[in-house]
Amino acid sequence: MAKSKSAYSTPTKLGKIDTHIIVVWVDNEASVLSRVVGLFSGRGYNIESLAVAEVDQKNNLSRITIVTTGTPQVIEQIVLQLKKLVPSSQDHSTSSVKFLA
Amino acid sequence: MPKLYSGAEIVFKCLEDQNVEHIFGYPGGAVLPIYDELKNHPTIKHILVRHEQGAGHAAEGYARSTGKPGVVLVTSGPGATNVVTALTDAYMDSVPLVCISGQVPTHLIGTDAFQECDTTGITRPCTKHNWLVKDINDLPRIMHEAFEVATTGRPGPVLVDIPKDIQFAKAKYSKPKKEKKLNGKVLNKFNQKEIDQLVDLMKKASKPVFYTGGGVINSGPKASELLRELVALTGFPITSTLQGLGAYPGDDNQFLGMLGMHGTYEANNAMHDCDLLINIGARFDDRITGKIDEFSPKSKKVHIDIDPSSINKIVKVDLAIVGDVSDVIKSTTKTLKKKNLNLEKSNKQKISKWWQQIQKWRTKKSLNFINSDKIIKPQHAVQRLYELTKNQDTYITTEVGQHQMWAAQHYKFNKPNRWMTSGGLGTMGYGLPAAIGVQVAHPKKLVVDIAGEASILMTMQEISTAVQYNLPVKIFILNNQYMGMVRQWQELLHEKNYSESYSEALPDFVKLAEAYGCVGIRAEHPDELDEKIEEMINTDRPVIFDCHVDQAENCYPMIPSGKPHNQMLLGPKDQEANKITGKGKSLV
Ligand SMILES: Cc1ncc(C[n+]2csc(CCOP(=O)(O)OP(=O)(O)O)c2C)c(N)n1
Ligand SMILES: [Mg+2]
Repeated sequence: MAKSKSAYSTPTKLGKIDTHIIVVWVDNEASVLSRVVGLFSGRGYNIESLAVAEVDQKNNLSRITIVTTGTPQVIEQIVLQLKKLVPSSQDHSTSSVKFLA
Repeated sequence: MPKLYSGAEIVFKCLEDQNVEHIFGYPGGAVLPIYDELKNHPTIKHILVRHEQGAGHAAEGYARSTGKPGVVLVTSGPGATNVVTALTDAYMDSVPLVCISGQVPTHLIGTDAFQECDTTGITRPCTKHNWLVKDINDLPRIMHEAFEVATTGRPGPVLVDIPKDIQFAKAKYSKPKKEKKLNGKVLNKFNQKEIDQLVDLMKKASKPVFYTGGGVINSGPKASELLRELVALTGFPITSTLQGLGAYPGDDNQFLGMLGMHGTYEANNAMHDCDLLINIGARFDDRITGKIDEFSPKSKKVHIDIDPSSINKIVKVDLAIVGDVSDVIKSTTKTLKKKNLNLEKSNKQKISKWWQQIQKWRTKKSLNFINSDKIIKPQHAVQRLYELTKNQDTYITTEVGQHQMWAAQHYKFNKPNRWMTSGGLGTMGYGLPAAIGVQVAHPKKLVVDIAGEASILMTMQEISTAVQYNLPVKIFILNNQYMGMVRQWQELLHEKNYSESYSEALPDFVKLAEAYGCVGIRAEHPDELDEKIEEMINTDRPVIFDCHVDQAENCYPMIPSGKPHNQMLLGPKDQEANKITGKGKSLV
């Protein structure tokens, strides 16, 4: 089992660490990637791989694909935090988070 | 052709439409157009602070004591960086703030221009959301959205960074949209099934306890009323976090006192031994859980919170109810009544043993201290302050340290929004500016900052603000000449090596008060304490009260870091027997 890279994880609480893919759809605008990535760095979670690209020009949407590792509790926390990001477009429903694996 | 407004005008039109009456701020080059516009908006009063951190904390005090968002206005660069501590404080304690900062003009952004800093970058991790306004046409929408984000769901700070050219540029103004998409309704994700489950758990429990937090306060005064009804209906014991004090009457028999690191023996043992733990608007902070692996090992846990990301963050719970505290309690009470479960009566038998156990813990009288007739004990000073102010509607703020814990332990709150303290961030220097914010919102009320002599020096200059606006705040300093809380930890963990925790030089606080143009009072002996406190209360001007207290006093009871709830230190004797070693030493 790989050691958690989080600065804050308590060793006694380690569940099984697995690799996960998280996909986030966001408005394509300055600072949005930094918001998403900041959620990871601010909590001491590591990103194994990251891909970002515009996928919907008409609606100005980008797709961020993140591969990360963590215990179920950490992953749940990441997903919940991502869902709390305030989308900057007027339509509050555009940003969404999908948990692939 | 609709009328065009400048960015500065739009800022004020938004503030007016959001019913803002007070803003706390400090001018500078990058916000001058906004300051220039101030004169045209007589319904909005600007309070000029002496440091931007003070503006932020004052807005926090204003927000916490009113339930309305606090508004802050600062300039670019140093103005913005100075407010970061207050934004972080508000973020940690879920206080709604809207901070407007000036920025260098758009064409200079990224050039290391004079007083430029990456304000949105710096404040990203300490705000719910922030915006850099690059197009004047976005300004009205962003301003209204800022208020919406700050005040809905779990409240918190937001920041709008407005470049100077945008403040001059012109655009149409549009009013806030009526329909709010992020409001409570959308965030209430709970259903009747979950309420039924909760009621079922309540019915079966024989050792239940309510553990309530700042979420009850944030949900509004109605939530406190509903909580009182629920507690009466169930007959269950209730304890509160530091931030939740006042939601339930502090002198009620069902109230076990505050829980956590410096909470009461009965509250912490009830948390440890209970079979049903109902968390209402609290977040299992490490100050209250103690050692997480041994936290409340035998209980079913229920968590009621408006923020889904709080659920299972630290403690796995058996039942999560995501929603506004008021609405959840209302549904629970309704269900209890409908099922005709007068738990207080029907369950009396069942939980009577539990209450007997709690009474046993209570006999420890864990908040007791050995009083003295020669030297003022800090706990005694807080108790006297309470006795002499309890018959009026008093608002208390604090700084951070031992005095803060003694205030929480010995001052009893009966109403919500009367207690303002920096819990999550633990910011020394919070109390004085917060008291100013409270006094601005409640000009006729008694507002006391229970302070430490070290903390107060961090934002001392704000007393000048209090003098300028005739805000008669009372700064009640428990002066032990030490950073008492640091000294206590050094005594406990570092073999009494009091490294840099003693203030070799302190100002004469009475003379300092006079220099600022307010009133200084000193008390050095227990005999004169009451009379001096009365004098303070009866002074209709800002007062600095220098209360000389025992320098060696420690704050008990205490859960040493790394220990569970049922291993509290009750006093100095316990401390000798329970040296903190190993891992506990590295915890904060
Ligand atoms: C801004 C800031 N710096 C440092 C600390 C660490 N700290 C916590 S309590 C404390 C001492 C506070 O001393 P004082 O205000 O005199 O209060 P006392 O504990 O003596 O009542 C310090 C330095 C802090 N909480 N905040
Ligand atoms: Mg002190």
